[in-house]
Amino acid sequence: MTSQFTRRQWAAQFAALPLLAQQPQTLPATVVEDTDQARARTKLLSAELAAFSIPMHTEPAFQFKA
Amino acid sequence: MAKSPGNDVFFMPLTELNQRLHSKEFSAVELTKAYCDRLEKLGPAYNALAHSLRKSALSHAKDVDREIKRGRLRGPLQGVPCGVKDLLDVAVAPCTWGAKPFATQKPDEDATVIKKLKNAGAILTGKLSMVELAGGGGYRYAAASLQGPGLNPWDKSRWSGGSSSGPGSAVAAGLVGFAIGSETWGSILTPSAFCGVTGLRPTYGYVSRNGAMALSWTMDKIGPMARSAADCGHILQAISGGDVDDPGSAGKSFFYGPQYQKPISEMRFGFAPSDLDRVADEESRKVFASALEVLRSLGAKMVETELPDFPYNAVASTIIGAEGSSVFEPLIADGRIDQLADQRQIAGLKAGLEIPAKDYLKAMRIRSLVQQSLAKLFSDVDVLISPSRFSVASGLNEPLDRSSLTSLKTHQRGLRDLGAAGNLAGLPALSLPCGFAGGLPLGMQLVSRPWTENSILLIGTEFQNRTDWHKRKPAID
Repeated sequence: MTSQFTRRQWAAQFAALPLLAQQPQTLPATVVEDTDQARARTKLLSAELAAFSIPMHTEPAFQFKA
Repeated sequence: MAKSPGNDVFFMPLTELNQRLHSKEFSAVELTKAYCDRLEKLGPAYNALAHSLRKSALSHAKDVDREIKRGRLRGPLQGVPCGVKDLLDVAVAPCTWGAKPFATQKPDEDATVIKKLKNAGAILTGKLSMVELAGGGGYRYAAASLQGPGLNPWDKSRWSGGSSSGPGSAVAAGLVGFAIGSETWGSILTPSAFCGVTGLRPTYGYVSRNGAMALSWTMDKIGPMARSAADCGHILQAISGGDVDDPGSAGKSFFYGPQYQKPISEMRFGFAPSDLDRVADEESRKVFASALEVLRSLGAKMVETELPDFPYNAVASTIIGAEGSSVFEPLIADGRIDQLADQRQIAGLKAGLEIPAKDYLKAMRIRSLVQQSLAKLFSDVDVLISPSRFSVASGLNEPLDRSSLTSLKTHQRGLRDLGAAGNLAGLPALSLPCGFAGGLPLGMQLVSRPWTENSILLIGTEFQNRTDWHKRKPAID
């Protein structure tokens, strides 16, 4: 299975693993736990985006049209 | 001599309902009364009804009867009772957005879509329930709604899907002739698949969002949920069109004309065999495999394909998280956010305010590349085909976020992220009922390039000419 990963996917996985390891594997029970987990998810997404390299000239999809 | 409509009207395609109205088999008032009775009786049993519009519906139905008598015909929606997701403004009717902080909200004006439905002669019988704030913060339980969890007409211990849960249940149970839902990421396709109805997510910009709750300005779409692909085509024609009051409007109108499309035999269907590996149980795998065979039998060339390599889910989550939290910032600031039913959703919306600008911008930049790459992919195939959802409807008390806590990506990409990719690129998608597993419906999605709804509607109609999954009815209490 793992051999099907691209280099990019590997990079994203490695960047995300330490953060993923911090995530509890059971459902949070309190508001504080939920808040912590929501923040951890934001960091996880951030790490995944950071690991994805794009050309410097890429403009954001503002004024988005399909 | 008109007679009262029988129970068969509750599952008729809208063209047939309309034809029977024109032949005076029953009047619009009689049909509307029958549908209102059913919606008010069964709607609460599925937590599908947010607010009945009986009085205004009967008044409008009288007008429609007068018009039909005078020979003023407005098309296939004329006289057909329908419901809309409770995030569309209907003048002076409650519009709760499925959320306690907005339980008493009453807009002054109709949303553009409502005006268009009325102009087409459709009879609005009710506002249909939804997941609170369309679930933008990420919710854990089906109960994340002011009206309670959407109950699936095929099995009330299962969820009807979100966030257009009421439209899904109401169409499946024959409580409305058709419904209008909305999708930012999966909110039309998921309840359509879970409830066994046909749902169309139009190209971004085809249908005005003026008067609709905003969740993500760059990703929100409004579309039909109905009994067939053909019904969806007629409805989209009625509700599409440019609108200066929606900055995302493309200024285009849709005309339903599947007969003018390239023949299916000249089309190329892209699919990924590895998608079936993601389906957990054997029965569902067989259903999807059979549906693929039916699609293959339509004569198109089947091409193995996969999505380009992008972090689709991270991009979509970041964009919706940042835009949604900005939309609801006043609610977060004054503390009303804590009135929401779902603790995870509250935390998610609050955390969304902490998404750094660099992440939102990076996501929007990657989105540009996603759009370009998918445009290239569509130079090789006409349509992408994949399961709408990889499993049947979840149990009512099942945590919806459990799988995301534990799963690492261990499968080939295939088309598994087609939901996120299609929404990021604003592509149209059609979910077709394609079979049952354990007595619960499954759906297959067809996705095509922007503005080519007629192609997927043509394929959907041919698929539904060869199958009867869309005609199956749940046993109604």
